[in-house]
Amino acid sequence: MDQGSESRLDADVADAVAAGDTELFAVLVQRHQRAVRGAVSWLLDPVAIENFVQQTFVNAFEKLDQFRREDDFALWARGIARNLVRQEMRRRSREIHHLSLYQTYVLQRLDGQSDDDAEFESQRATLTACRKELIPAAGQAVELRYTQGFDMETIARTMGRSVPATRQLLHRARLLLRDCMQRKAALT
Amino acid sequence: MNRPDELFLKALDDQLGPDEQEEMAALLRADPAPGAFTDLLQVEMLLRSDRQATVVEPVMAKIRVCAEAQTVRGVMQHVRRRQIVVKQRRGRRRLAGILALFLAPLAFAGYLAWHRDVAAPRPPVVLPPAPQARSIPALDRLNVGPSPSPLAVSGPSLPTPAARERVVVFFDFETEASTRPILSGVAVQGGPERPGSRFSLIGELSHWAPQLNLVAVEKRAGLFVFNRNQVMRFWYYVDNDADFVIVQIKGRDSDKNHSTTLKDVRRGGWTQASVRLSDLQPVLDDTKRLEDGEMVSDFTILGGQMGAGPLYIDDVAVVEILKGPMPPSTGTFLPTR
Repeated sequence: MDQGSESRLDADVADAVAAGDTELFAVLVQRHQRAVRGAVSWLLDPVAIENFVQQTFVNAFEKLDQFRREDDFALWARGIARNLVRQEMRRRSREIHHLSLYQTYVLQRLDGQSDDDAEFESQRATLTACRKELIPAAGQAVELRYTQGFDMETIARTMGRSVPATRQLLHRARLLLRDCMQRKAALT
Repeated sequence: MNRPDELFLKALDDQLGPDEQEEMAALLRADPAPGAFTDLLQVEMLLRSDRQATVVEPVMAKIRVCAEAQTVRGVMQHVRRRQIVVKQRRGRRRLAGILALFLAPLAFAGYLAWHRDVAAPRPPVVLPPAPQARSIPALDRLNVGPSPSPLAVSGPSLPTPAARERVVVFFDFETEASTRPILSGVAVQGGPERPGSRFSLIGELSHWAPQLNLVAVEKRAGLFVFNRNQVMRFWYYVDNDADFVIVQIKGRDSDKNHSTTLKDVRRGGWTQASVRLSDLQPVLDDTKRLEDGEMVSDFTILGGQMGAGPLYIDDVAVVEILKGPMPPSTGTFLPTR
């Protein structure tokens, strides 16, 4: 389906939900949860990330009358998500002084974050390619940690390693992924 | 792996020790735009967005509650409009009464003249039908109707104070006056059933405690004046994910929170809790305890994990014990500190 058809589908579903078919909202959640999760992933706490993904969609539902047919639903929902994250970051930076510099830095990054869905998908495709270049153990650790969402202890047990060794493996894997993405970005 | 990368990866995993936090802060101060961090953050964001977990079910559960709350809000608008109509009718009746006062002597004179001069039979007087209450289909469907008095809606759930008690403030979340000061939480009708109550307050996500369901009620001018003889009573409903319920109030002038934690909460059923406000402790070390006469600007109740089971709250009352011993706090009640 092309971009125009995708947008029309979202708009039609949003219209139906606004007309009272609440259950159809699940279609929008299913279609866009990954994009929204990407927008709130700046938070460190995985539980908070899940909560903010959920709250983004609840807010989107409550503001559905503000959504215009010509808008891109994913962009609109990501905007809501980023606002939630901004508020959370500001609150945390007031409460946890030692994180204030990191939070300020992330906030600046959030403000400059691209709204371009195509760019987000392009980066994801690059990352997928880079993940295939990882050694099997590192690839498995990344899969268990990020795709499956397991904690460090479970990953260590599954892979038959110690927790510190698993953590070290994941550190190295992320640095390799960063280097790979920088390399591929330079090529394009 | 260089030291900045190592620190930043640890920060992303929430594994930084206190010394390392200081070290990282110093690094960030030294380099306000570290490009390496930007790229690592980008990788982290993309990896985290790849999570396969679906949020459809929990989101839809919340949205069903929101949809119902929206319906309730729509119905309440109908109810308020209807109350305005009643007021207009009352105004018209008053106008008719005033006119009747002026016209009565003229009518009596006319009657006497007619009685003397005319013997012809008079047409029967057809009285207009008695006004009927208008039916609002949405109300009928939801079994919600305007109450005869805004204060009468809670019926049996309204605490009936003994002679030794005085209700200082009471929120049943049934009327607009009771829901207006809600800062966090949504008044809904679809919660677990409790006899005598239609609406309760369901906890929602907040920026103050994103991992817990939270309800908060606030009036900046002040909710009530604190004294040591006060008890807060409320009904709560939590599920199996809840190990505790936190009760917190804030002094208006000091802007400081005072809280306590209810342990051994009952799960899966409505339960009434009672908390002596004198048991509440300051949340921050440098804060004095609340003193008699201080204005309280808000109360907050937290419980249950956000994204798991819900927190419902209903019929929150602050009662002052005028005479006799203070009732004990309910359950195994442990002050937070």
